[in-house]
Amino acid sequence: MSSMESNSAAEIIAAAQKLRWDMGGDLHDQLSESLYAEATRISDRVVSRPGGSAARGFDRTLDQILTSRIWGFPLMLLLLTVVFWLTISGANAPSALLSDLLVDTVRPLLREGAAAIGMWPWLSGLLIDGMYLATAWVVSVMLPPMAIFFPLFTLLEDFGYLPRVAFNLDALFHRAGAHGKQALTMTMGFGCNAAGVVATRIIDSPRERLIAILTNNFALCNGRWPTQILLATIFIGALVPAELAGLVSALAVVGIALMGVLLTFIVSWSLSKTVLRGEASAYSLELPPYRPPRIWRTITTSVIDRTIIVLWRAVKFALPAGAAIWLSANVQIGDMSIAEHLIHGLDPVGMFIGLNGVILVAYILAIPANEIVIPTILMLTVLVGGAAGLGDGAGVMFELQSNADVLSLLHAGGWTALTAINLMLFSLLHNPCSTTLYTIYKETGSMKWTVVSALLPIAMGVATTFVVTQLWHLFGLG
Amino acid sequence: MPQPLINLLLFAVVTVVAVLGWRYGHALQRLMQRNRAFAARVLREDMLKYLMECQLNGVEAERDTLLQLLRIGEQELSGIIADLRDHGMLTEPAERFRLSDTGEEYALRIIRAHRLYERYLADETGYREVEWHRRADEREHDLTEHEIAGLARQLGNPTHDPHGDPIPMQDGSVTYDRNAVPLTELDAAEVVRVIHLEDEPDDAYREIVAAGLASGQVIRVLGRGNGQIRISCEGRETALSERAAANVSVVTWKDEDAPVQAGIPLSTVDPGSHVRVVTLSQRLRGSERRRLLDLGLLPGTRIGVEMRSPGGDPVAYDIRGALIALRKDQAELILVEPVSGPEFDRGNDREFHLENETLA
Amino acid sequence: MEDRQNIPAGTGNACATCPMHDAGALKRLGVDMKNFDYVVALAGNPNTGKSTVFNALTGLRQHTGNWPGKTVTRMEGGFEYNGLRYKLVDLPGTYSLLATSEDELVARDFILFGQPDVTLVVVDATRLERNLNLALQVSQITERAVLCLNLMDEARRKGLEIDDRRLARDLGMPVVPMTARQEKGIPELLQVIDDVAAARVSSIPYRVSYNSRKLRTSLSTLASLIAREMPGLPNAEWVALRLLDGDERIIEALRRGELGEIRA
Repeated sequence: MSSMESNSAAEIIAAAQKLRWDMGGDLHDQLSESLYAEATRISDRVVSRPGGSAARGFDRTLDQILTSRIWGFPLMLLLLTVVFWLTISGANAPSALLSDLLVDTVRPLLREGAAAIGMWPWLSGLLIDGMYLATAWVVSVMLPPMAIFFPLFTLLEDFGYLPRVAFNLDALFHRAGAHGKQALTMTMGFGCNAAGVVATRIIDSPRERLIAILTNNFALCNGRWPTQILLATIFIGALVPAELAGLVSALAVVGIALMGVLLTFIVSWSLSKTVLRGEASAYSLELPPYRPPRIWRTITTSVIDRTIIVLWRAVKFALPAGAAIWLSANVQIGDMSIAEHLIHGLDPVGMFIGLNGVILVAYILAIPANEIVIPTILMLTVLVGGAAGLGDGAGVMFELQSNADVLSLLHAGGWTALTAINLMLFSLLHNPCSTTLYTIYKETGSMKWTVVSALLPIAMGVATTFVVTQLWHLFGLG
Repeated sequence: MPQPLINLLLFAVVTVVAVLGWRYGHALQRLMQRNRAFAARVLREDMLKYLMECQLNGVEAERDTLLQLLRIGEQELSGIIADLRDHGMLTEPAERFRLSDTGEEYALRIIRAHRLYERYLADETGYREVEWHRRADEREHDLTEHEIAGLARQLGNPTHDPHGDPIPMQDGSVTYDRNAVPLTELDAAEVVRVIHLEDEPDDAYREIVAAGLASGQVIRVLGRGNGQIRISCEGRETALSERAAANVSVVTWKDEDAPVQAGIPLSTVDPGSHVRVVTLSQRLRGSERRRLLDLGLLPGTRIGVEMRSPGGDPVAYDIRGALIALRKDQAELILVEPVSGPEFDRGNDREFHLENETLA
Repeated sequence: MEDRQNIPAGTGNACATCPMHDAGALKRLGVDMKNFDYVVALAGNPNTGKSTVFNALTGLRQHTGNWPGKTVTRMEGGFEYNGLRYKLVDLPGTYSLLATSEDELVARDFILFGQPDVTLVVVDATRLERNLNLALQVSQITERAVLCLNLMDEARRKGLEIDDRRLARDLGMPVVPMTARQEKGIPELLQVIDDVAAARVSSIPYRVSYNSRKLRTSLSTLASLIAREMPGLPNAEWVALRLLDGDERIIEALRRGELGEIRA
């Protein structure tokens, strides 16, 4: 039976092959044409407009305003500013609350509990000071802004506005060899790079999608803003008279973010002209009809869909990172901990690019989430410098309430304004966090692109900080 | 010199070396890889390919052309010929180059690899027309049988390469259109269909590409003079030198159900107008073409030009009820004719379909 | 067109409640049918409210935005109706099934090889012409298609009237007008899903009349060859079309006899 079947199959395939030669190549054209002709015929028969052609008025009027030469860009900037402002101002209070709860209330309780049941100190250190603390930290810093940002973004998306943003900005991105929808994935990246990478699914042209994925890291994510703000406030602000400090430090942070946007364009352009030149590209952008968003449904689904999923991934990576941080500071080899060995080993490299060993080790240990970079740096600085009375002990991340305390601790650790500037640059230009890398791997299915997306920004970061450092020394600034 | 300056200079040198290495490393690697055995194989295969193409096109192979094509001397050529004969690829007598059955089979495999790869470059990648040939020339020698079969599968077993040359089947069968004539043999006002563009020599091919010609187009000869042939092609008038035109093969256009397509590029139509699609340019290929077809951009489709983005590009079009933005470089390849407003138009359309139905 | 006057009741000898899906193929496609009686596929253009229908049927809260290609990872859900358990599989939103993109291939392969007991095609009633393109292609592949005429409220607001009975007759498949956002039409849809799953109702593969003479002759030659060699294949004409298009997935399936097993 099966041999007869394959015989007849072979016969059919051969016949088809022969017929194909006679038909010529434009079968796809012909099929689409006939199918659409048939669809038109049927719809003409069954659809009628008793009231004559109804106005599509509302949609078109709105489009005329939202994509107009005069109002298009201002409205867009206004809406995005509102979204960012709501996110930043709205997230502070719940973040502090969560931190109070998870770090300052639950952790002592856990420690007491562990002591009460007589748990070995090293185990409770590993579990509570390491794994739990890192996770609690990530959750309290990450959750509130994401839970505000994503629903707002989703509301704009459901209403149908975001495709218009892509439409407005397409010319700009086109010039950089990218897709207008990259404006949206980039904006999403300001919330969270991992979410931004997932959002590139909306770009249906392979080359442009890859560009959007590889450059998403240049959008300064939510986890890196606090680092920027802290450093700008205590170091950059200190360089100018006190009355200008606030303004200058704010400008420095915005400058770094804008530099990220600029780099997005530059890197997109060079990628599309070099490595990705041969990738296929097929552009199209549908502007769907405006539909009133269902607010409650949107909030619940986007919290589940985006926030929880991203958070869960981050937590999965924070747990082992917490363990690694704690162990590195507590496991002794010879007369020093692993972390100290690493720091001393990396110090020369760090100095070369105007950073230091502590910062580099912090970036290695805190790869799962940018949120824990600063706490790790503080902990490691205390570990090597032995500043008495600060922190909770080896391997326990902490924050300081007062900026002055941070400043004096970092000064003790040998920091200068140059270190701060370089760290701000390096925070923009380094590998994506492991959550994002994992997401890139999932989305591209390619180890090669994952590695590229990690190494490219690191190389840029090292080069930039190196040049800045050498120029700094050259002009005798420090 | 201060230390930081030295550091910076060192850095600059390292960067330049890295960039150059990346840019030309590939070529360098190829150069080193091209050991003697591989170089000899490439020459053999290029010669077989040339002889096969001569045989398929029914022309006599010339020794001089071979010397030029392979860029080798008399002595080396004699060596290759002897080598091919030893492998049983050529038949006697010696002064005429004829491929044996083995030789033909081998040559067809290389041609198949070359043309499939060109099809792949045209349909699935973003490389430009003028790069296809060179890239395929490089790859044809190292694609394995297995890779060739995989490529064919991935592309849906195409029958022709993007220049209009038939791709030999796996069993070596290949069919040529024998009725094709070069564009230079036509008189004014003749309407023909382009079936093949010769991609060598390079400068002639560049001229053909720049003129916007593509295999599958229907063109009309407008006239000739001053060593040039003027043609009308997809709604534009353009001119080709005699030399380039000799490399364009055409057949008489005699398809009863499609009239000669003329139209203006959609990109030239201002917002607020309504147009009807005449045809999609043959220069739209592969996934880009299929995307537009799937969106319902087909001959006869009504399009409302709705609005221009603040940046000037793209423009949003009403295509079968959906608002779809297309970029200028895409809209340039969609040929349309103006129609009046939507109301009048619908009536027209219905008539058109009724006609179709009675025909069927 | 006269032969498509009404939707026929169940085919004579089919067991009334037997599932038709190919459990083996479904498993290969990653769908676990344990604990389910029927599998229902959900196809449709982007922006037609496909996920709203999905949510209305399953009660899940799936968010997929206004973008083509958004549902890259397949969503699955389940629901119960009349004591039978249905698995609902959301396919990527596509304009067509001509297998030109990854999304289209995923959707096409699921309908062809997974042989869902019911395939719902969600269309936007305000843009019927554009959406019917996909519905026609689904109808060419499977006899178990149902058209969900969604967004009826918007159509009404725009002053459109749609003769859904005539649409069902012309298309040869059951049509359910609905407004999924307000859960209107869902009870009717459930009833039709039940009928089609139990083979009390089936659709008729749509025969598209092709414009080109060459295509018509090649197609009829090949389709009759296929019909002769593989009687019982319900979509011989569609298979012939795919072979003429050089679709390697179908050639391979034919070679392996996977197409021959269908409905055998």
